[in-house]
Amino acid sequence: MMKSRGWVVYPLLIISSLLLFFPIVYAFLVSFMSGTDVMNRSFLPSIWNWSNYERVFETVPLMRYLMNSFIVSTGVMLGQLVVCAFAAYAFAFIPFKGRNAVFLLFISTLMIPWEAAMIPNFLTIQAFGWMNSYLSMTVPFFALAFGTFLLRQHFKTVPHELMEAADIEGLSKFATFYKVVLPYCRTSLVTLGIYGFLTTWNMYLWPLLVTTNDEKRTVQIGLKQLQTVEVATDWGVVMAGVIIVIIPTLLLLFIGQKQLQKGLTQGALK
Amino acid sequence: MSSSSVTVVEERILQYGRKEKLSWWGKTKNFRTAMLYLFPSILLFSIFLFYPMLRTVYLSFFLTDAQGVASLFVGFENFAYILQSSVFRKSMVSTLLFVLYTVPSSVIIALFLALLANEKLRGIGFFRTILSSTMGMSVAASAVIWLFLFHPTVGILNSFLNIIGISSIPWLLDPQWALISIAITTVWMNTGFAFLVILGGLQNIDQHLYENAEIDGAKYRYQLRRITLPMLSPTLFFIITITFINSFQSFGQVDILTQGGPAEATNLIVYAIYRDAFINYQFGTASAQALILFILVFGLTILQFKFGEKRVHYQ
Amino acid sequence: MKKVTLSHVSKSYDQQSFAVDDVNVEINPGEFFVLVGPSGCGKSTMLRMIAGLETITAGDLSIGENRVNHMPPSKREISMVFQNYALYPHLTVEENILFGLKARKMNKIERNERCQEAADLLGLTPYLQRKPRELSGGQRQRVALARTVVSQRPICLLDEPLSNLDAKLRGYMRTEIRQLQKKLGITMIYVTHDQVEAMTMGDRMMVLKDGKVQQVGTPLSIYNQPKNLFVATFIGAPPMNTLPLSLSQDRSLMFMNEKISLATPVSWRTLLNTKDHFHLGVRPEQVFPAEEVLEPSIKFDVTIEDTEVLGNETHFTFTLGKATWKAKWQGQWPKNIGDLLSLAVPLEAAYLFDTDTEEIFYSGQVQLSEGVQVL
Repeated sequence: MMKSRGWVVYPLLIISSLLLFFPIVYAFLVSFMSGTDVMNRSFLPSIWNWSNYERVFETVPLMRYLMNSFIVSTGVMLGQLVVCAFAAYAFAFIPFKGRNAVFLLFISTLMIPWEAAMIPNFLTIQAFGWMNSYLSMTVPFFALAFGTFLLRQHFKTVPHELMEAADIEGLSKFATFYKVVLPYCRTSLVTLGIYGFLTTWNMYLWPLLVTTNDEKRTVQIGLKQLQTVEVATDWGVVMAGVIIVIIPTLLLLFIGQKQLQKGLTQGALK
Repeated sequence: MSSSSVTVVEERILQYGRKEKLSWWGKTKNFRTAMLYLFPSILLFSIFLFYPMLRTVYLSFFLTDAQGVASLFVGFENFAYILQSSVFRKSMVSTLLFVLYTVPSSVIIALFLALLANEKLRGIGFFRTILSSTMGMSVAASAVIWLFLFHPTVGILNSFLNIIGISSIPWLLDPQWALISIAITTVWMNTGFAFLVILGGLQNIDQHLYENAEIDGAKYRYQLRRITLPMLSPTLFFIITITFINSFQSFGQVDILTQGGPAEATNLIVYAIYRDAFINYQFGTASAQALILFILVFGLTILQFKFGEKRVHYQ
Repeated sequence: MKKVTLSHVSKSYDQQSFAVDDVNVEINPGEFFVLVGPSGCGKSTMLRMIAGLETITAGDLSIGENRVNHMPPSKREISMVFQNYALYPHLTVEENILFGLKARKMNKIERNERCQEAADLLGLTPYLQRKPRELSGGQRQRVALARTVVSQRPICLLDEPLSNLDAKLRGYMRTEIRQLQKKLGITMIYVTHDQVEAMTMGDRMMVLKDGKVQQVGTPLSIYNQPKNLFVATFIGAPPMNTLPLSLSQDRSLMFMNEKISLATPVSWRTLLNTKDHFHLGVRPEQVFPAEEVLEPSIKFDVTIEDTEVLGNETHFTFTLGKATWKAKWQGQWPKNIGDLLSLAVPLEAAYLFDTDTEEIFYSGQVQLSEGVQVL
């Protein structure tokens, strides 16, 4: 039964994969093309050379942007893990009065699109003097209802005997948190970490608003800049930029795919 | 908890209990500890979500200066203004059309791919990786790649069309095609995430159900209709809502591909807000539009909770 | 060493009924004390109240001379072994054993010394660097015990520690835990639903049902002198046979049902003077072939409905009135289903229970309770 289905499934899989992956593959190929290749709409570069990659670093301060993106993404990732883990711990393990009310408060944040709040946020950031600062791109994203729910869900799977054993040994609540709960739930922390890094690395609108000079700009804004500067002249250079920008996230995705898939369905549905 | 008459338990406590009187401080211990853990989240939500949301409501009733300071209370005039403005109405129409183009196609394509990738075949891991790859793609990178593919002179899409005998399409130049082009880009970007979520949902379905159906001799199509789709309904409902909300929030692809043009055809709501607020410094009308966006997303999320909640039990 | 005293200890979750109902007991230092009862009888709740993991609704709990109702678990000088061992999956065996000592900031040299000792004692030395998931069930159990050993706390609470093991290993671990307790000289309070564990391990045991204490005593005294019908049928395998009987007007006949009756033994008549009904209880090993019993007895003939030959003993199942009974005979008996058996129960092996209160009111064994050799 399964075997015979393969004959239908493989061709379909191959065709869909080709179609879906084509833009990425093509961007990769173009990044090695000369201007003439591009003009001729060639499919493969006539000569493979790295000159586009050298030039992209000369055109825009891409190194700087990469570093900014890396700092911002790592910052959000760590901040999110800490803030969400704390909140999730309270929800999962501390029976306090008003827990349902606070939980509802968290749920309500899911209903506010960031874009609807961005105008006052922009004004707030200006008032804080956080324009062109890493702070403006990291701190507002530390608290995350989705991340809190994801972790809470996993925290609740910690056998209560483990917590009680720690209680009998005399561990404080906080020590139980970081010595028992966090190590037990490593996998969901990794999932949330990957998710946080990915989404931050790919953030576009907000960095566009809060950065006005090259100093703190992220790669995504760099891509837009590159495209506006280079569009008439050389697509090869632009695509080299694109490839450099997507490599970290694609790698992360490929490594963490299984985890991410599990985590997303759990956090979303339960 | 307490009943009017004295229960056996209360009686026993009176007899043998030396109930320690807990001070107010002692009674609220759990609450205080919990708040300590919740404080960072609540603080951040307050500053960057609840406060700005209220401020948005507030601003939408005012005319503002270029610094965003409310200068003149105008009541519902901002709303009246945007509702009458042809630009806003066009933006709403484009947004709704865009949602209509992207949501069903994203979900159907992702479902199709997930069903394929759920088969237990050799090398399926590789295909799953490829099919989920667009989840790692940023809006900017995707938009730049598609900008190139759509390009009137060097774009390869038109070359393909020419090869199979179709004349070139004015992808980003024609108002109608421009919206479709942006929709294509968006669907492509959506696929990875939706695929991953649906695949997760498929893998959560108990394999015994299928084995049982196989024994009963049920055909693939029957299994799909009677087992897969019903069991998958919570996941599908979830991903439909998420795709809806994401579509309403599309910005980057517009900014890079069309800047809202040609002829305002792709001026989607978030882009319209962005333009009003950060290019024209009309914070009042921008806030009014932001409020409308909020209401749309809010309604959709409520819907997800109402229906989603009921169906999740199924699993 | 400190004794554990419970006085009027009660627990209620819903403010309406008791999960643990007015328990009074004194557990002596160095004693192996077993709490036994069917699931839901409140035995685990009781243990968890002693541990401090549950609050006490009413009554006093003392360890030594101090009332500890509100003392946090870590201050009670106890260790605890859980049903699924509560091993930290991310830590090695050694780290698991030392977890508590590290939490108490004990110095490294002493810590390692104790770990070595415990590992030797329990045969865990080769596994110290492994993770719990690489161990078998029995080894995990030993790691949990090693934690108790290194803690050197005088009281150890065990909550159904053997129920996740297979039968053979369970038998082996029973002896091992028992020996460990004797070697360390600590108090062990042990919860189980398995009456065999209770009988074989405990110095004393407490039988619980519906949150109420049924009986406290040594395993043999409880076996020989059960206080009521529940204890009688709960302790012992196969369980005690029981039979509801109603008496004729003049107390000379005991009716099993409308038709069948037995003659009331003369020595019982005064005893039964005030009763209309009662329950007769007889241990399966006290149901003998009629020809072997010479002393005063109750005799009856039955048809065999099932036989189980267990090698060195044989069980027969038959119906008496409305009850299903078993007889347990030493050796192998070539009998078939459908065969007739003539049976006799010595009067001194009979227990009589009040039908309404289910309390015992007569036991033929009272006189032989001292030099017991019934098993």
